[in-house]
Amino acid sequence: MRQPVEQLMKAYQSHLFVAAFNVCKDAEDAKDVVQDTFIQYHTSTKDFTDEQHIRAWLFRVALNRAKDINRSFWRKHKVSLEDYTETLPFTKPADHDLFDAVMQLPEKYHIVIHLFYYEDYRIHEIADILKSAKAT
Amino acid sequence: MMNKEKYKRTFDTLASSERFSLEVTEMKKENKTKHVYSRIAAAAAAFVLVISASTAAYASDLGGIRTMFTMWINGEQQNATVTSSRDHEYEFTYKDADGKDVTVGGDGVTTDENGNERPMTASEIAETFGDTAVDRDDNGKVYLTYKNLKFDITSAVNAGKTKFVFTADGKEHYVTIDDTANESIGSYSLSDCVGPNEDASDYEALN
Repeated sequence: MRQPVEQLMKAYQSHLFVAAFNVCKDAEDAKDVVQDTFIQYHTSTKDFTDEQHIRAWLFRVALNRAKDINRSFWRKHKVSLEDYTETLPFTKPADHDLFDAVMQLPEKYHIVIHLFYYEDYRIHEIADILKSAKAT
Repeated sequence: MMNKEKYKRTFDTLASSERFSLEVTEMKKENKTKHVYSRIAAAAAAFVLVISASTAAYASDLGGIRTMFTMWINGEQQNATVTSSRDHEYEFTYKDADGKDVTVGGDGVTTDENGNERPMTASEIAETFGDTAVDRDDNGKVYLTYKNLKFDITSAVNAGKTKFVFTADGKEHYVTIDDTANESIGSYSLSDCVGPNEDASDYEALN
């Protein structure tokens, strides 16, 4: 099955942005990731079993694209993470602290944490998205 | 409060801080000089164009190349000066109807005959500005443009319609605009597929 890209953009745009930001730590790069992900969906002829299959595929593509961008030297960190974080309107100081703490974690940990805590994925689903073993 | 709830509250702040279309809207309201970055993927018969905005300050001379292009903007051909601001990213400056400088910028990727991605040239990016676009002007009128074609779709959009078809260059273009367009003043996301389309009857004919 396929869903119109417009529907998917409406449903997952902000989720993919946050996931990509966890990797890129740069808002503009994360926006590029979101666009690239939907472009890849739109130009792909891949058939999906259901919406959850599409959702997992979108996250996999976005996270891989974010890692690619992270490895590209000239795109990296146009705005410092500290400066950007100061613009976020956290409702409580503890939220700011939590955000800072998560951003300090090694990438391999906070992607897993993010998919578990924010996207409510289970461990085996996260392993499938990241193409890694459950034990790791 | 559970850890998950705290985590979600924290990252909801990040999620709600970035509204792609809203940024473009705010920028247009504040400053007539647009600084819009878009990434465009050219496919065989279809493309999707999503516009995001940068609030970075515009430097008039960033040391890049500078040449002239004629490009379609808002249904009219405009002479634009192009500046390469950084690798594979270009800014085009033209005069609007009031004689004010307007700057649009973009970069993009396209696929070569071997299926490999490569950065788009300034010329290719200039050509994409003639592709389908939907924009709302300061008077609230919504126009769908393609090269020199310009359709007033204000009443249709206000009535909740999101699917349009028009014929250009001997082909039927099936355009679907984001169904949140009514909530977004000044910017839209859209997909443009070149026909034929099995669901053609669902689309409002513009010509």
